Formats: sequence, structure tokens, C-alpha cells
Amino acid sequence: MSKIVLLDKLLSQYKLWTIKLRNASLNIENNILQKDSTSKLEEKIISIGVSSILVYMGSALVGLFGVATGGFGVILLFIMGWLLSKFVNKKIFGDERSIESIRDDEKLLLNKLAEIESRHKAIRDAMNSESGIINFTNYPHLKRELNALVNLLTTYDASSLALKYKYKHAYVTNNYKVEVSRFDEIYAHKTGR
Amino acid sequence: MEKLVTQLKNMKNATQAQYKDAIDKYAYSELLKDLKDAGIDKDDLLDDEFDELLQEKIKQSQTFAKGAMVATGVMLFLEFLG
Repeated sequence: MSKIVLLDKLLSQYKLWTIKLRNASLNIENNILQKDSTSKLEEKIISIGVSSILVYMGSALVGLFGVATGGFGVILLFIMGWLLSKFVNKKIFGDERSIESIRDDEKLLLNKLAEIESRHKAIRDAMNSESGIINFTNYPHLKRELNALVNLLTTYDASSLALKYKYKHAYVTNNYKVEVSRFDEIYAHKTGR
Repeated sequence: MEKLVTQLKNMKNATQAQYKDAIDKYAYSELLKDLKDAGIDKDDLLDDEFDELLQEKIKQSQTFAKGAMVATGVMLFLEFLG
């Protein structure tokens, strides 16, 4: 009886895990494609910040020589700051990348993510549709597949990404690794590691 | 996600609280859809588990939603400045 209860619990946990795996995959995909519209707000703030700093610093510097910066000078400094911020923003936030424009190894990585996700979705659907007891089978193959993907993620060359996404890659990869550990706990019922 | 972006773009002169409410509601309905697809009943989940999933969904929705909000109010001014 306790084994049936445990099996039911693990089946529920596995179904829940598939949602978490989907979230972790989506975060990696969005990061590689630099899809984060919150950057737009951050970019505007940086633009205004850089422009204002340049106006203050420029005015102070010119003021040292006893010359007051007039209205035209302030506008000129603001425009210079605005142009400078465009360059800074490009380095930090970059632009959204299309699937067509990414490297082949990045395409392979995204394909692997989608492949693994759909494989586990198929297993989940089978669990939901079958009337009999579903055992957790094919573990070594599934585990190998996940490990290979984690290896691809950890060796991923993030040099094509803007700074924000470059640093975020380690974070989203770590989240994916956590889900791979959870897979062991649920699918193979490995505990106490 | 397109549905949410369109909804936010149509919310002219809305307050931050109204935007947040729209994003939260969208994330909640999307999560219920995900749970249904996975064959999980919301009531079978612990509150912590549900909250964790909901927060993740809200975060993902915000990632796309803020771009849509650029088209409105103060954001329009910021857009103009560059």
C-alpha cells in the first residue's frame, strides 16, 4: 500500500516537474535570444542618466575656466550624452536576436532543449492517458540526455551575447541544473545526496 | 503572450497598479492552463508550490509586458528621449 502511495506521489511530482523544466528551458531560450523587454525601461533610464551626468560634468569643467555654459552648450552636451548612452546600451543590453541570426551551435542547443522538453511532455501525456500503472522506465537514457545538455550549457560560448545576458547565462544554467537534480530525485527516486 | 501585450497596449492612461493587476491575472490563468495540460489539479498542490510557479509565471509575463508598456504614458516620454 505504501508503495502505491509513493508511486502516486512521484507521478504527481514528475508532472509538476515537467512544468518547471519548461520554465527553465524557456528562460535559457529567452536569454540566448536576448528577449527581455524590461531592458527597454533600463535603457531609457541609462540614457537619461548618462546624458544628465555629461551635462553636469561638462558644465562644471567649462565653469572651471570661468565660462558659463549657455542653453546651446547644455543641449549639445545632452545630445553627446544621449549618443554615448546608445553605445553603452548596445554593449550592455544588445538587441533581440532572431533564430536565423544565431550561430549553429546555439541553434543546436535550442533544438536539444525543445527535444528534451517534448520527450518529457510525451511521457507525462502517457501517464495521464494510460489506465494502468506507469513505471518510471528508460531512466539511463533520459539521464544521459539531460547530462549532455547540461554539458552543452556549461561549455556554451556566450561571447555573442550582450553583457546582461552573458552574466545571466550562468544563472539560468544553474536553474536548469537544479531541475536535472530534481529529475533524479523523482524519476529514479534518488535521495540523500 | 500576444494577448497580454495587446491588452496592455490598449490600457491607455492606466495606473501601475492596473498594469500589475492585468499581468497577475494573465499569469494566473496561464498557470491554471499549464496545470490542466499536465493533468494536475490546483487543489492537489501545496500553497508554496503553487506560489513558486505563479511567481515564475509573473516574472516571465513581465519580461514581455514591459515592452508593451513602453507605448503608454511616461514610457512614451522616455522613448522620445531615446
